[in-house]
Amino acid sequence: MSEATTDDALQTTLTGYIGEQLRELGEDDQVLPDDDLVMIGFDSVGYVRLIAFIQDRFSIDVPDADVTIENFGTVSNMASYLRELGVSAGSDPGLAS
Amino acid sequence: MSNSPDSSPLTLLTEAITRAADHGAERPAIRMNGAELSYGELERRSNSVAHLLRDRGVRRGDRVGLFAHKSVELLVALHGVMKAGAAYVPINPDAPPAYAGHILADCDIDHLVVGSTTQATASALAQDVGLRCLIGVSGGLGDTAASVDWAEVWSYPDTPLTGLGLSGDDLAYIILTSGSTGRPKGIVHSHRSGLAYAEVAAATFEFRPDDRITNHAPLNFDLSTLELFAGAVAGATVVVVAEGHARLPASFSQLLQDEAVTVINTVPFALVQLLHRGGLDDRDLTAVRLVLFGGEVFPTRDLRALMQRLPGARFGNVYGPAEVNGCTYYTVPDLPPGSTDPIPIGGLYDGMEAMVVDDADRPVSPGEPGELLIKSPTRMLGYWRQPELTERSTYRKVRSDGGEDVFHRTGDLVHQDDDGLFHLGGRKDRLIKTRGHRVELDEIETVLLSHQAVEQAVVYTVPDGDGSQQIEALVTLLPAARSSIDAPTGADLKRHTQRLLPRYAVPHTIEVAESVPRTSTGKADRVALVDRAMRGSESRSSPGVE
Repeated sequence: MSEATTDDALQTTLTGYIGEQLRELGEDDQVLPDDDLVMIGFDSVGYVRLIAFIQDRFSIDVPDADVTIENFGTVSNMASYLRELGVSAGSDPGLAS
Repeated sequence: MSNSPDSSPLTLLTEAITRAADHGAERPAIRMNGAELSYGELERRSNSVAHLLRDRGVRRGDRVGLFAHKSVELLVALHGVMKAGAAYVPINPDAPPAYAGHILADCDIDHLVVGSTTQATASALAQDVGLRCLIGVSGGLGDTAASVDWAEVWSYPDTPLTGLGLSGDDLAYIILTSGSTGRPKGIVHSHRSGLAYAEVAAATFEFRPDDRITNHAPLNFDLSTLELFAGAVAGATVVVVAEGHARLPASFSQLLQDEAVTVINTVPFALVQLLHRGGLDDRDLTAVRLVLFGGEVFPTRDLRALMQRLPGARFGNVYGPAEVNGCTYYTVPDLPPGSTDPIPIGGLYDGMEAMVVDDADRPVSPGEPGELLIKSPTRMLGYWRQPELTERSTYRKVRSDGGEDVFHRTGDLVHQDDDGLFHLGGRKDRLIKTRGHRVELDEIETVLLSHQAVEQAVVYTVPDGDGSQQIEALVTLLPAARSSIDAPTGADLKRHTQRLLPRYAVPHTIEVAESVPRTSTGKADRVALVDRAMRGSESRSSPGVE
């Protein structure tokens, strides 16, 4: 699997989860990789849940100090950050098949 | 402010900026995302905004809406609107269109400052509510409304707009709060009431030109007037915390470090988040000298923990309904370990007077609980177009000389301790009757917070169908407790409350949730919880979580 494909799979997982959260908030659930999540209605509660989801799904520990706009402001930033932590589509049991 | 080089008293809120620009035009007034605007630039640019608005037909006493996410331009516009003799009306940029439209119509707003994220909503509303001009965006709206981008705004003269004859009684800003009936109440402040607060706060907290003060709260939350106006009175720098930084505690802490912030002003919720999720081990916040918080109760255990993390900072609890801007403050001393008693709201600012009265408006005996009434030069002019509501919130006391002292009824229950400090007992409307007993909902929250695993607690009531109120609670657990095998269940927490509260005050169900729903101003959204519970009770007969 190429690097780009791995990244796409990661982004799909993240986009899917964030879309669900936005739908719950009554917002438009279409998320593009470079959308500023705060500006499309993602709130601090959403972020707390998202971090819990990521830690659980990829079996990693995200240090509190890393949960910044630079690392988590958009889906594509998140995917880059997670790849640096060694996360790939293979770490995602949901996509491993 | 005896050390001020210019001791001539101010009459208008906007004169604070003019004075600061006279004293140091190059000094930073606003910083945001690395950009900086000096007091000289703020003075000139806000003059241009005033000229534009005047040119476009805005007149003394008109209302101009601010409907945008935070930006330097938005704050320039805020001051410029007041310089044009109009009142600024901040509208939550995340508000649903119908809510924004209601405010625009209710306040007769023709001119609206918008941003790229709110432009579409504003355009869609323009015809319905009769908007004439959108400021801050380019691209016309056809026949409906004109639009003026910032480049065009700056092309207007940057000299002071003269000849308006503004006085302290002129409108300065209108803060909207949700009323209990669902209809927003517009709290109208004058230059006099706004300035009175700015000056007493700047003096009390010893704001100085070299202070860098956060603007964390959204502009539609009255907490923001503290840094915006007391900061200007002191000639200090306002460090604007953009929405993204406000929502991610580690970004907020990074900003505090990078900007060497000296004064933080925000809600307890944001500080609790900073403590638990701000990555403080990796941040240097030694520049912080003062942490002000208000808007709701700060859980004492978290407050003590944060004070230990910031040993060089003073902590101040600021209290006051938006109707009086602010009225009491309390400098928090070292808190005894293990204490979960709520801290007092403290004593009055200079120049204010208080009464504590019973249901018949009779002063209570010293130490007894009652409603807090405040007489203060910071008091609002009234509620926007709701004179009856204004009158109901007013208490008139006839003096021995035949004159009248006017107090604002805060609706908050307090008692005064032996040291004269006020303690908040909760809202008058948070004192409920259930099965014939009077129950203080905030007291139940305090009991829940005294459990070692509980991070946040919200207690609310739902009609039980028999004409009484059923008490419900929602709690979140501390991060360390969440993953623990000893994490308490709702039933465990219920046993905890049963040990500490009379049976009628024990919540019917205690739900352990991941998070507490919040309003746009960061307060616990009890209305949403009640709504959810009411909807839930229709679809299922038994409570889901016990």
